[in-house]
Amino acid sequence: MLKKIMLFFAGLTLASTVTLAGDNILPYQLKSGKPYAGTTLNILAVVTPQFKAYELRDEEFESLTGIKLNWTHTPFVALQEKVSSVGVAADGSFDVVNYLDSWGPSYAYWLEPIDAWLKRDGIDMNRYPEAFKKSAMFKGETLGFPLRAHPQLMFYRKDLFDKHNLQAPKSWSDVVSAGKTIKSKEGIGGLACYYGSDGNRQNLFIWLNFLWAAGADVFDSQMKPAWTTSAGLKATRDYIDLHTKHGICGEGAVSNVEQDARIQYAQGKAAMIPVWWWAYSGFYNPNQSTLSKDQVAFAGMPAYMGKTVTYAISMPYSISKYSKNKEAAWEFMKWLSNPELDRRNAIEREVAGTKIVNNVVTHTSSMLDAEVNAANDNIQQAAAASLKNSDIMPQIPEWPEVGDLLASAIQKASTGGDVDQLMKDAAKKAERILRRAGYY
Amino acid sequence: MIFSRRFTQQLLDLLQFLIILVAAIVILVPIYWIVSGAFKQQVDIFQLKLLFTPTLENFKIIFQDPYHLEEKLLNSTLIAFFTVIIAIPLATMAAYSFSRFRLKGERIMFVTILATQFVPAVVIVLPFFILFRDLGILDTRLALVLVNLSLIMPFAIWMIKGFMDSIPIETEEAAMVDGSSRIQVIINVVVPMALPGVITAAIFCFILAWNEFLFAVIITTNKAVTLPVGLSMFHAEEGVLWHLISAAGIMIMMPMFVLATLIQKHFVQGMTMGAVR
Amino acid sequence: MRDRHLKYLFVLPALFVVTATAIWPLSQSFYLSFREWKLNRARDSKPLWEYQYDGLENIAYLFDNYLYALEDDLLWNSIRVTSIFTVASVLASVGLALGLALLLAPGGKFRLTVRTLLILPFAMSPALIGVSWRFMFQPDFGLFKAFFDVLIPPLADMDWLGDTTLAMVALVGSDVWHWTPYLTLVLIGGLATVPQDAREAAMIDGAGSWRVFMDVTLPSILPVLAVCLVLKTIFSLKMFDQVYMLTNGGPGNSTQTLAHYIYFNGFKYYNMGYASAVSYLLVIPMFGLTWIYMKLVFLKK
Repeated sequence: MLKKIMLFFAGLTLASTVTLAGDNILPYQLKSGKPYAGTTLNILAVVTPQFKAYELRDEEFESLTGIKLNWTHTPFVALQEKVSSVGVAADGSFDVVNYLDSWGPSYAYWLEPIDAWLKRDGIDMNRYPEAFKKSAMFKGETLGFPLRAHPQLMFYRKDLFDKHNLQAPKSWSDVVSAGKTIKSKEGIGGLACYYGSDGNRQNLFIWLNFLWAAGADVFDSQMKPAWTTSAGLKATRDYIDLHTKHGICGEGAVSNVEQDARIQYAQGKAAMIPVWWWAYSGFYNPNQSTLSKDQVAFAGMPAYMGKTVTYAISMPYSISKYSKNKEAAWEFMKWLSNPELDRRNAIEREVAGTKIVNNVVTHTSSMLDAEVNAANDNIQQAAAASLKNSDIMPQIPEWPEVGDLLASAIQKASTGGDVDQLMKDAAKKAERILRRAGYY
Repeated sequence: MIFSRRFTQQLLDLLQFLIILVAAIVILVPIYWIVSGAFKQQVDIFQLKLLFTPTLENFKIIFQDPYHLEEKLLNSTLIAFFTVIIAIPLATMAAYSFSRFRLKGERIMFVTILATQFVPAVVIVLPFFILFRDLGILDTRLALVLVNLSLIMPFAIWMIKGFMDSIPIETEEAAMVDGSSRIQVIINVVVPMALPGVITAAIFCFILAWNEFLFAVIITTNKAVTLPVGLSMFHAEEGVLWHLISAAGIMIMMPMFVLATLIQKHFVQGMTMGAVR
Repeated sequence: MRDRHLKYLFVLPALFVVTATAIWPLSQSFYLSFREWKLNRARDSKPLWEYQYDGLENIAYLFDNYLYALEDDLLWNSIRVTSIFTVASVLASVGLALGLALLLAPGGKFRLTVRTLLILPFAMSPALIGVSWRFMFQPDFGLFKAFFDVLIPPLADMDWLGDTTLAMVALVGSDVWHWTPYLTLVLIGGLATVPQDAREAAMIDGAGSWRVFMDVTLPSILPVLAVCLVLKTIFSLKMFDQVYMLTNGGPGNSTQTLAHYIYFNGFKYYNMGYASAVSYLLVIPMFGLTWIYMKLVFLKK
């Protein structure tokens, strides 16, 4: 409590110094003079330490603007239903919502584009890496800020790799050979695989690396399924082969979803895992993991056919069209997304008396920041590298449905099914959905 | 016969005993797994150790910020209670009528009541969502009681009618001959006899309402969140917080267990009732 | 006779509640099934076809949701899965419950103690069962693997959730575990109403226990048994929570039940109109099924 109060005063001091110094100019392009004082904003956000830390810091915003914040943190499993119901309810019960990028196009009709505000306040979306920026856009309009966003990295067991004289994998064939060595010598899974289809299409995360590196894509320019080209099918087969042919995966590869795979790695039952960067701190957190920090190392994603293309994901914040406090909500968005907060949130390990470990930043400047990198074992640098050649899932309102067709085909294939046939069937079904939606 | 009748009987008894024992073990093992999880530290969850240092920390955590399970506990209790308290008396009346009288169109009524349960519940909740939005009662306990009734009412009628049907009509007729009115017969004869059935139905309905997930997840956000929906709080970013789910799971099971123990008497009563008749 | 009014008066309040809470929303959804309601494109529904003065030639559009459903492979797959699941779980849980009820009916301290346990699995929320069973099936840290390792080694190396058939077995298993004890309890309640003197009379007549069961016990618990069958069928047909938590319909779509499919179409893919239509496509066979059960239950009257 005391710390909270102190933080509050720190915020006040910051506000007042700025006010004194520069003719009522507030930081982060906030409007001076507290025009929205007394407004309460309702925010729906996913449960994550990163956002909890934002909430713990929100006295700063309240003291600068007089706007009160009321946070609702929803676990990810229930988030899609919750955000959808905000759109259907259309009662302005939430002013700002946080969602997964691939749901964005489905919500676009009730999210407020922010381009005019961006222009007015001189905020440039190029402060984010290209993939992140793209994840918050739909049909040329900017819908919000990517506030939690992830590049992929390959985590591996440093100790085991050293023990067997293995190098950090540079390509997927390196992964296969290292995986085989570890599986035979250590008796644990080489790679923590996740072919499980969880309704969130996690088993496409790595598949997209293969697909894109092979020069194939999900859709062609006509929006017809393009994963059935011979390059696309070969990439898919090679992705499935990690399990069915090479057998380097840990136990339960077919039914495991991403978090099962993370647990498998953290419990020392698999030696490699390709996963989001945010997972890093959990891998050596003694509450969740049997590993110590020096056992956990990371590298960029492996190359397939000599090329590395990674998949990136983001969870943007947007303003609801039904909000009655859009201008105030915009003030909040400016504060929340400001580069200074982004940076601090990855450096400070204690916020208002609560221990927070977070390495997620979304501004390019933060990723290259020396202090941020120093506080996080340079994971941001690796992330920036991973994001150099990176893309997001197709941004169409029908993606959840089409993506699930792919996800279930891939899971079925990983049980030993006919990869080509399954992928072609999925393409046929996808075409039917897209035709009905009016794409052709 | 090599074995004496008595020996065969003992063998049969032993066999019965063993089957029951196995059944009990099958019932208990998953529950033990959950209960033990509630006393484990997060780091012990992934170890199949029989011995671990038990902790009560999990129970403390679930009642603290941000989880506040006590709020969900209260919501679940009130919602289930009011759903049952509305549904059971009405259902008992209707079931009695269905069981004892011929009603015009009773088959149609019956098929319709039951058929409502064959349609996936998702379809029922949509119009409610729109209605509640327009009435401004989204995320309230009242809204959930109303929706739960759509699930509970048909079952209550059905189950209680089943029990009523198995009660011989002769006792009532005898009482009627003695000069009692229909209402008196119902209060003095039917209700006491049907009580085990009514209680069974009430428990069933209470549990259904207690565990209802789909409606609650769509209709509640904050204030009226129930226990099963609250469970999703423990699906954290780092995975399922199994130790907390287990602790919360105990909170879900415990009231039901207490309830079941309390009404155990009525099941026994129901049986002796059958025996003395 | 006053009963003539009383009997309708008794039914009326219950009918009112059912109409308001179930029939009204269902009729609303029926209406929606003839409309396009895609929450990923617009907030409100719009007609698939509107009457025009010059004719009805495009009336087929009105049924677009239904026509689309007829050619939806995944829908048919989910109907198949639901049928298999329903038959397996109803037979297994009601059958086991009947056996267990007969075993537990006689009373005595041991049996009464076991009986108190029966309410426990049912008291568990299906969502919780789904999560915990998924965890128990985990090959790395799950209970089943450790259990089978000791007891039935060939079962230990099975990838329960990673195989299309075994995943279904796991799903049915979790559901049977959930329901059997409760159904047992209901059947014990039913057995309590079996006329004891008739049983004794049959015994004195020298009938074996099998004959007593067939001639006396079974007929008198038939209504309760029918209720059990109806209940279990309804819940099996609606199976959602455990599918969602345990297999999420996988591997592939091999355990995707109808309720799961409809939920996903409505709330994950935002095709509300279509989801409604799919539900109604099933009302006709369901009505038939209900009718059959009705005959069974009304048998005694």
